[in-house]
This record gives sequence, C-alpha cells and structure tokens, in this order.
Amino acid sequence: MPAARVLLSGDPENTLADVPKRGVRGRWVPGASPNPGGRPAGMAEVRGLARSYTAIAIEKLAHLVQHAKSEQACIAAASELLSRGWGKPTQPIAGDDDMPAIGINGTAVATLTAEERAALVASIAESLRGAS
Amino acid sequence: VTIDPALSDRLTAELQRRHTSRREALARLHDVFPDELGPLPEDLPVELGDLSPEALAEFVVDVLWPPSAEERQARAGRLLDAVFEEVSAKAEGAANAHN
Repeated sequence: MPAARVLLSGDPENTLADVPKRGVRGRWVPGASPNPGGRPAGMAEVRGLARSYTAIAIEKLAHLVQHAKSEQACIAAASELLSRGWGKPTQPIAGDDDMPAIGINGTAVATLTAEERAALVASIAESLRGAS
Repeated sequence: VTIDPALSDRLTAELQRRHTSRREALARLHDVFPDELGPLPEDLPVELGDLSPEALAEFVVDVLWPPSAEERQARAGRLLDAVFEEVSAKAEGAANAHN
C-alpha cells in the first residue's frame, strides 16, 4: 500500500476536498475551481530569477512566459543565461571602500567609450594569446 | 604575460563571487525543474585559467572599467536574443525530429 501523502496547511496541491463541484449542465459552481492551487510555481521561479537581473531581462522573460510555445524552451533559456555568466554587474571599483580607485598617473579613469573598450579587450586578448 | 599579484587577487575574488552567485541561481532553477534540466553543469569557470584569452581580456576590462548601465543592458539584450534563438532552434529541431 503506498504511503499516504501528508498535506501541509496551505499546500496548493489538489485534494479530494478541493475537487470542484459542477452544476447540472457541467458548469463550475460559483466559488469552485478546476485548479485551486493556481498556476504551477515553476514559472514564478523563472520570473523571480529574472528580477535579479536587468529590466530588459524582466521584459523579455515576461514576454516569453506569455507567448512562448513551449514552457520548456523558456526554462532552458533561463538556465542557459545563467550558465553563460550573465551575472549581476560588477561593483564599481570607485565605490569599494577597501580598494583604491584605479588610476593612470594619478588620474582616475571613470569610463571608456565603446571603441576604447573594444580596442583594449582586443589588445589584451592578443597579448594573452601570444603568451599561451 | 604576468598579471600583477594584486590585480590577480582582485580578479580571482570577483570571478569567485560571480561563480558562487551563478551556482546558487542555477541550483534554485534545477531544484524547480529537475526533469527538464538534469544535473547541474560542472563547467562554470572558477579560476582565471578557465577563461579563454578573449573572455579573460573582457573580464579584466570589465573589472577595471565597469561598463555603464546602458552598455550592460545592450549586452544583456544581445545575449538574450542569441540564447533564445539558439534554444528555439533546438526546440524546433527536436519537434521536427519527433514528427
């Protein structure tokens, strides 16, 4: 005999007591629901993860949750994003109390243009490739 | 190429912080979807030596010169588009193979 499942107070799973009552024409009786536990918790978890990141992620994931043909594709996308290191942004160094600001010749470097950043990345990568 | 020890320590600390954060988020997702996602991936970079030259170069620049909010959003958008296209193509391929 299978072990009886213990239902905790507030457990959203369906129980016999929750089985909805239908009227004579098969319509749900007011106050009854075929799914008293509501939507599965899974998608809420995906949305919760998205909240940790940027506004654009929330918008895109929310759109996907509403329109994706496959829930599994949405879950896979969320997992891929996390695996690829789309983490929270680095804390600005200038705001780190334990570390001095980065500077060149005593002048703090606050920002790089997109072109400067790309050139710097390419230059460092080239040096690293040459060293390996 | 030798990385200054102080810089190396700072980079390693940041990489470890990101690794921990990603592992925690992934673990939560895999707890919720164990059947869909399977076991946790083990190949997340945790040492500087795990990064490719391009990834390490970008990481160094990002740590020393944190990107602006606009740049982060633009990157996030590009990454999301690429991932969704890839995942959608995989799902479509699997559905076609099934049919």
